[in-house]
Amino acid sequence: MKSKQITLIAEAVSAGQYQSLLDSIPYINHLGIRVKSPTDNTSALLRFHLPFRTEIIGNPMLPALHGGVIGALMETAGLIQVIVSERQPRLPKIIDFSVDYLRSAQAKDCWATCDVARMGSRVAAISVRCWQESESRPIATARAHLLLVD
Amino acid sequence: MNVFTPSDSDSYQIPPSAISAIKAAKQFSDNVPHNRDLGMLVESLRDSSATMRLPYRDLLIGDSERDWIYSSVLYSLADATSGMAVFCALNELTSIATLDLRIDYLRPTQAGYDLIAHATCYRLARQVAFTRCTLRLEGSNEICAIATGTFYCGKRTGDRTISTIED
Repeated sequence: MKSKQITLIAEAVSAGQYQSLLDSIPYINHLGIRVKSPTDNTSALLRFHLPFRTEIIGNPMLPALHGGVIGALMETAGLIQVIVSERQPRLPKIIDFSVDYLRSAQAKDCWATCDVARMGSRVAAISVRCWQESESRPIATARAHLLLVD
Repeated sequence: MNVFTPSDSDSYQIPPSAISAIKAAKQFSDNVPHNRDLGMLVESLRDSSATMRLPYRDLLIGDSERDWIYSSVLYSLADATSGMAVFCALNELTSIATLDLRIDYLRPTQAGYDLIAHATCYRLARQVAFTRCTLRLEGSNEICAIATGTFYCGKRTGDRTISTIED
């Protein structure tokens, strides 16, 4: 019997709609992360959007967003992009994940995209960028290794 | 707002002069919106380390088939705990900026148990702090994840530094 998650992933990939996949992960659903599929160009990268809410603040004095929430956005972007562009039937397992914080994350919306740097038969290497006002001024970059699961 | 009560002092083995900074750090954490949103609790703070607990909730699940906690939950807790360790080491609540944080997910994290994170600021230089954080499940000694971080602390007026602390 196919598991619920495998079915969900297969349906999302065939429909080209990945929001239900994000919403099936409770923490991501709670954070309210949205995904936008490229409409005109199917090979383009997915764009992940974290709308601002006061609950995602990490430093109320500045104020600045929580570093963990930025990490969650970028990690999720990596997981979903690998599933989509590499047609993975299951959620890969993250081996390691490293974020460089480049600018303070202001109390506003964030976006992220993930580039699959190298796809092996067992391990994927990815790089993720996250920005707020302008895509050319990233607030954080990340790299990770993902273990692919049969 | 969470008030620092006398009964809390049992877990604070620090000189009285540092109590106000530690108290401020705990109050800061208790008032971080996302820490409250997830339900993170400060368990104990010492002069260069912090322990935080994230009580289990179904909200933390990432893989419902296999009943594993979502990786980013561990990352968020590691980020918060590492920052607290830096505040403790600085002995003052100044503005710090995370430069980088790296996490190794050593094994899947089973759902159903509280997460415990313990972070140490093992080196505090004049402008930069270095941290290490281990995460495990309540009642288990197996480490689920290890995070290492660096923080920029600004050009401090205080001259407190920590030479390398070994485990």
